[in-house]
Amino acid sequence: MNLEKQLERWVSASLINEDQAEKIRQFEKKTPSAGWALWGVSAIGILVLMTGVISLIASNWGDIPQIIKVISYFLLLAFFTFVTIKKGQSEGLIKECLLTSLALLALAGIGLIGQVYNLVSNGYSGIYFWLAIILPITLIAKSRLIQYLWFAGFTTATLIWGFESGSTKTIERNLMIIVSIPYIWIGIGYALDRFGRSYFLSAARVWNWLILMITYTVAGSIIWNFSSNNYLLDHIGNWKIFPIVAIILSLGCILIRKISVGLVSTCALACMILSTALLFICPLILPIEENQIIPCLLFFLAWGGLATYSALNDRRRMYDISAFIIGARFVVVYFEVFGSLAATGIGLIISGAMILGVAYAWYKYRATLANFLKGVA
Amino acid sequence: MNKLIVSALVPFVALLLWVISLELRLVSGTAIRIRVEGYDPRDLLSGHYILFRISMYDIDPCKDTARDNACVCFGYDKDDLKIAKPIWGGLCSSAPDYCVLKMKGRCEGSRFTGLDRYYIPERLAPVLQTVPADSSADVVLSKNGEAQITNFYVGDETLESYAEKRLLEIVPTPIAGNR
Repeated sequence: MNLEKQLERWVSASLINEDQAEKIRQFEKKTPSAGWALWGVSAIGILVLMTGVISLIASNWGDIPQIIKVISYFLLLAFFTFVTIKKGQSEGLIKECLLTSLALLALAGIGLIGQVYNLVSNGYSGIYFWLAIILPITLIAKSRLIQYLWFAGFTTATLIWGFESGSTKTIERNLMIIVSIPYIWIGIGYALDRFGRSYFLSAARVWNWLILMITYTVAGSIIWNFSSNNYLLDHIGNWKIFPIVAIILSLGCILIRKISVGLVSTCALACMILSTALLFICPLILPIEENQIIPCLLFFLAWGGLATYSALNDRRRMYDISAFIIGARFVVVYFEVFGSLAATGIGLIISGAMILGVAYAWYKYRATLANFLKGVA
Repeated sequence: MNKLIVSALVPFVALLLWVISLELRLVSGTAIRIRVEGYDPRDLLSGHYILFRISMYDIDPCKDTARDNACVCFGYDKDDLKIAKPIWGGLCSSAPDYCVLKMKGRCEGSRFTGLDRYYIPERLAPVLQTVPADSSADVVLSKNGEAQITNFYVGDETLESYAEKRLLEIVPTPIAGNR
């Protein structure tokens, strides 16, 4: 709902008078703000522009001498740096566009220098180098694009490092480090946020929660369908302690942070950490037997935790998505248990009625459940 | 200086220092020429660079070596002082004292990859689908074994010159009287 409609509603409900509404209008006019559509279009524009620059460099411009390529690039980079410093003194869309462009131009530069000096690439060193030199830009930027690009780059480089570097003997060690990283980032995201609001830390939490809630819960549900991999268990040795420490660290950071939304909310986050750890990390480091009930319960605990946290923090869309995923998992459980019913006509009718019933119950009671959760808190 | 100025200058300064360090490595290192060959006819040209491998003769640096710590030492035969040949290969930490011209690399399976690519202009790509026979490369080796390729040769001529000649051979000759 836009501001004008909201003001009309508030005036008609006698929450504010016409004078106050006019003051709010005047205040908002003075505050430069860009709508999400403008931000989105700008983000796409920057990505396309910089992809063009990168592909121009990658296409190895014919006969241009290499020294000219390098000098031209540095002149372009100097120009962008100067414009960013000059125009970026005031907050807003232009500053964010310039910072994002500068970050992507740095990536293009790494590609160009690698090409000019015929450098051998292992896939991850270049990305880590890029992430390091754009970290200061990322820390001061407020646009979501550059923050998520940073974490996408970090995840990609870490995955390449994990499976490409070291000998075959160290793959298990790398696996233990990789699976621990989301927990470490979440811990850092909550621990450092006490010292002031940061878009970077916020992106760290969101990105790594996404990895836990999507990748770990799905992969964990699949892994529990098999018994433990003895080769992996024999080779990880003491490295199994690494994810355990990371999980304890993230739990500690969540529990000792300055809680603004109450104990239940904190418990919901802790529940998500523990259930994803038991779902995905446990089968990797401990001997388990094939099981279908435990992963199912852990899946519900993880997504139930997110639904609770969303309800308590008025994140309605996130609550709806969590509730929908829990409902969808119920349907999967139903077919796992009563899969043979789908082979007959009557069975299909019962199954269809069951699915419709779950959908109706979710639609009917989701608001009631959200209010109940708030009441508990 | 405020945060914005420092943050915006970091990429420029970092990339500039990187280029300077690469140039210094080229100036201070030892230049040698080594024999190279193609190793996979299906994937010799990916994008616009030539993929090659260093001719190892009978040296196998990847026999018992961890992936990231392989080294090859080069030396000259009495009868060929132009091309440096591998004289030892293995784990970097166990390199012998006579290993002065050392190249660091990694092992991918049984293949040593200290250097494996040389970028070429796009228009020369059609005549460089395979690494030509009798290819060699000028390489600068730093004291700690980092290698940078500076030129690529086919026989005694540069790869670019060789490719220009091949390119002229495949350009169709205009038919007389045809405008």
